Amino acid sequence: MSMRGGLSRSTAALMALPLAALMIAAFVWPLVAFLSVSLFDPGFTLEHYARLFATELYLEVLGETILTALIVTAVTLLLGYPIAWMMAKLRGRWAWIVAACVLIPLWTPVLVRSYAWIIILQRRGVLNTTLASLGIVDQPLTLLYTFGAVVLAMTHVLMPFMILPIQSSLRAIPEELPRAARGLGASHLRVFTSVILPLSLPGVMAGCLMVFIIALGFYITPALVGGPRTLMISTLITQQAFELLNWPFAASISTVLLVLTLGIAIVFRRLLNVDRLSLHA
Amino acid sequence: MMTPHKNQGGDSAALSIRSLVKRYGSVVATDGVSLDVSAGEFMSLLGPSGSGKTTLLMLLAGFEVADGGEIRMRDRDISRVPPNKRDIGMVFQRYALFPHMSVAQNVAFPLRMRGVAKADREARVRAALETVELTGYLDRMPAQLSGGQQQRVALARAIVFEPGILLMDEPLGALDRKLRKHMQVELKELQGRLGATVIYVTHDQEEALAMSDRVAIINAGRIEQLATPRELYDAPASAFVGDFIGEINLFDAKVEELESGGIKLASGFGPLTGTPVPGATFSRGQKVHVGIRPERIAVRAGAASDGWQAGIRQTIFNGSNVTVYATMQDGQELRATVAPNDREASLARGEAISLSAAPRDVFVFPAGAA
Amino acid sequence: MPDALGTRAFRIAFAACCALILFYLLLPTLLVFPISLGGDPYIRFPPRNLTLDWYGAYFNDPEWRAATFFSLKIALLTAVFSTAIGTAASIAMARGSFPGRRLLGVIVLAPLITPHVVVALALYFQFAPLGLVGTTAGFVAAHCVLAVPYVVLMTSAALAGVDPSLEMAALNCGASRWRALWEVTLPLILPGVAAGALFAFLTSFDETVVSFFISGVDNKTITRKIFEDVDFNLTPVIAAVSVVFVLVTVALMVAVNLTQRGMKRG
Repeated sequence: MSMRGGLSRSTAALMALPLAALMIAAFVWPLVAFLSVSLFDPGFTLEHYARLFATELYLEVLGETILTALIVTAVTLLLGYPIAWMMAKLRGRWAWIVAACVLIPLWTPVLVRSYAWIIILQRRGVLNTTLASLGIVDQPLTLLYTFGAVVLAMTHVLMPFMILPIQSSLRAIPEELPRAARGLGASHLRVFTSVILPLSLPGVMAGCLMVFIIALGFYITPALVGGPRTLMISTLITQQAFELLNWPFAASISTVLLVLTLGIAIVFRRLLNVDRLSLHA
Repeated sequence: MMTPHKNQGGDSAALSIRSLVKRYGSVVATDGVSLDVSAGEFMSLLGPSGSGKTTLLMLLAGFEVADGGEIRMRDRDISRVPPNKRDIGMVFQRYALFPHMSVAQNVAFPLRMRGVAKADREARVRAALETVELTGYLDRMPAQLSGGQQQRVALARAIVFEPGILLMDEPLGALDRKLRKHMQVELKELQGRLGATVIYVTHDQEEALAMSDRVAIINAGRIEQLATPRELYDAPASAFVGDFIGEINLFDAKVEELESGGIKLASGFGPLTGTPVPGATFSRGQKVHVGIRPERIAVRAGAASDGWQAGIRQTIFNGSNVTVYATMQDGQELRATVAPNDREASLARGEAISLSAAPRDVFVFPAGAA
Repeated sequence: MPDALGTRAFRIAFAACCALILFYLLLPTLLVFPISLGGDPYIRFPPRNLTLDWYGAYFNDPEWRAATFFSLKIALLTAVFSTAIGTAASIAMARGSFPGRRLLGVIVLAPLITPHVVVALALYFQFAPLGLVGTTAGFVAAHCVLAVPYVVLMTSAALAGVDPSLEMAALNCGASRWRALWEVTLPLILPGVAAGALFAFLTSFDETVVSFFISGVDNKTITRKIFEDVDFNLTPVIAAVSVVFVLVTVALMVAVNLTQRGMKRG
C-alpha cells in the first residue's frame, strides 16, 4: 500500500527548508560561484580551459591521475574480491575477525593511515629496517614519494569501498545456486566463472565505480605519500589556487575534475548505488 | 460502558455514503458508490484485490479525500474531516500495534490523545482488554504476543474510545486457518454484545458470508450487489457476483423466447429455461451468460430423454460431497455435486449421464457484464 | 576439466593470500600503537625504551589541546545541526511531497562523490570574503554539508523500515500529525537517527581536506595540526595522537553498528 495520509505540502516543505538552505548556501552556491570564476577574466573567456587543454604538463597530470585511479581500481578489485568472498562465506567467529580486519582500517582516519604509510615506507622506516635486519637489502630502498607508494596507500584507503559492495552482492546469491551447479557436475572453477562471478557483477561494478571516482579526486594520501614530485589533479588545483594564486585556472581544473566525477556518477547512477554508501557493515 | 452509541432514533443510518468518487489520475478507484449502514449492522465490503475496496476504506477512515460525493455519520458530513477527528475506530491488516509501547500503552493511546484523565484511562483500558478477553497482559510488548493476541489488542485499541463505527481491514488475514475460523465466531459474538456498527473489508468470501448481516460486493470501484449472504448466493445480480460467491457453472447461451415462467434459451448442449436477474431486460436472439450452481444440477445415470446428455469425465471426492465433471455434447464441461452415497457418485469415466436444473436455479445474466 | 579450485593445496594458498591481504589492511592501524610508545625523539621501529611520554606531551601541549577541543566542539555542533536538519528533511521527503523533493534528494547525496578538494576551495573562495575562514560557524556549515548525506541516508533507511500503517493507526486513534510523528515515528527511527548523529560527528572529527583549507591561525582542527606536523615535525607525538584518534573513532563506529543492530532487531 502506498503511503496515504502523509504530511501536508506546506508542512513537508517547511521541514525540508533548513536542508535546502544549507545545501544551497554551503554547497551549490559556493560551487557555482567558484567554478564560474573559470569563465571570466574579467569578461567572459574560455582562455583558462584552452590553456589547460593546450599545455602538455597539465594533460600529463590529467592522464596520470586517470591512470593512477585505474590502477588503484584494478588492484583494489584484485585484492578485495577474495576478502569480500571470505566475508560473505564465513560464519561465526572467523566472520567477525575478517569483518573487523576490514572495518577497523576503514574507521581509522585517512590521515592516520597516510601517516602510518610514511612511517612504514620512509628511508629508515619499518619496511627498510625489517628488510635490513633480515639481511635482504644492504642499502635502504627508496620507497616513499614514489608512484608505487601512492598506489599502495590509496589502495589501502579505498579497499573497503570495493569489498563492501561485492560482499553484499555475493551474499545475495542464493546458497542453493552454486550447490546446484556443483550437483550438475560443474567444477569449482566453472561454478565460479559461470555462476558466482556473473551474479556478483553488480557489486563489482558498484565497487569499481566508487573507487575510481574517489581516487580521481583524492588529495591527502597522494599529497603526503606521493611527495612533491607526484602531481595529481587535486594537488595541481591547490597549487594553482594557494601557491600561484591563479584562482580562475584552479577553478577551470576543478570544473574538469567535477564534470569527470559527476559525469561518471550520473551515467552509471544505476550501478553506483550511492544510497547504500553507508560505510559500515 | 463499552457500548458504542446505539442508534436511538428510528431508521437513520449510522453511516451513509452518497455517490462517492475517488480518482488517481485516469484510474477511477471509487466510481460513484452509495451505501447505507444501519446502526449495529455488520457489513462486509468484499471484492478481489484491486477492486477498490481498500480505497473505499481509506476514504471512510479519512486517509484519502474523495473527489466527489459525501460520507455522513449520524447526519454529519465527515468527508472533509481529518482522520484524527473522525469518530471511527480501525483494526489494521497487520494490526499496526505500536511496537515501542506495551499492551496497556497501546490501548491507552486513543484515550491519551483525547485527553482522558489518567485514572479514567486505566479503568477503561482494563475494561477494553476484558472485553477482548486479554487480561493480565498489560505490560507485555506486542512482539511478545501471538498473532491472535495481537489481534485482540488491536481490537481493544479500536473500541476503547467507543467510536460510532468500527472499520476492519482484513483483520484475520494474517492468522492461520484454524485460528481464523475461531476468531470469526468470537468477533461476531463481540460485535453482537457491543452492538457495534462494523464495516469489514475482506477478499475472503467465506469469511464475509459467515460473519456479515449484509455484504457489498465491490468490483471495479462500484458496488456490484448489496445484499444478505443468502440473497447473494441464491440470487446473484451479475455473473461476476455469481462467480465470486461460491461455485458456479458459467456459459454462453442465446435467448429463444421470453415467457412469463422464464426465458427459453439455446445453449451449445441443448435447450434450457432460466430466470432473468432482477432489473435486466432481454430480447429475443440476445446473447446472455448463464449460471448454474453445481449443487442445483441434478445428475441421473443413463441417457434420459428430458435432460442434457453428457458423459462422465471424472468424479472427485471432497468429503461432504462428490463433484461430477461432465463433458457436454458440445465438448464444454459442467460441474455438478452429488451426495457421496448416491449411485451417480461412483460412475466410471465415459459413462452416459443426463443433467437437468429447475428454471429458478438457472440464472440468466446480460452478456458482457462480467 | 581440471578442478584446481577444489584441491586442498588451493584452499591453503587462498587462505594464505587472504591472510596477507588482511595483514596489509590492518598494518597501518596497528603500527601507530608501538610507535607511540617509543622512547626516542624520532620514529624508530621496533621502538626502544618504552614510554608513555608522548601521550603526556600530547595532553600537555597547548596547541594539541586547543586543536583537539576545537575539533570536538566542531564535531559536536556538526552532529547536532546536521542531525536536526537531516532528520526533519528525511521525514519530509519520505512522508510528504513538496516542489523540488527529488532534486533535494539528489543534491543532498552529491557531497559524497564530489571531490573534497573542490568543495574545500569553493568554500574557501566563498568564506574568505565573508570572514568565515577559521570561524566556528564556517567550520560547522562546511562539515554539515559533508555530514548531512549520512544522516539522510540512515534516517531514510530507518523511515523505510517503519510500517506506514503505524502512523495511520496513530491518526485513527486521534493523534494529530505532529503527535503521530513525535510519539510513533520518531521513537521508531531513533536508532537510525542516533547512528546518523554518530556518523556526522565522526565525519566532522575525521575530516581533513576541507578543514585544512578553511582553518585559521588560531582555530585549527586536530586533523590540520596532524597534517602540518607530518610535513614539518614528524615525532612520535603524532603516533600518540593517532592512537587516541583511532580509539575514539573505532569506539564510535562500534556504537553506530550496535545501534543499527538494535534497530534491526527492534
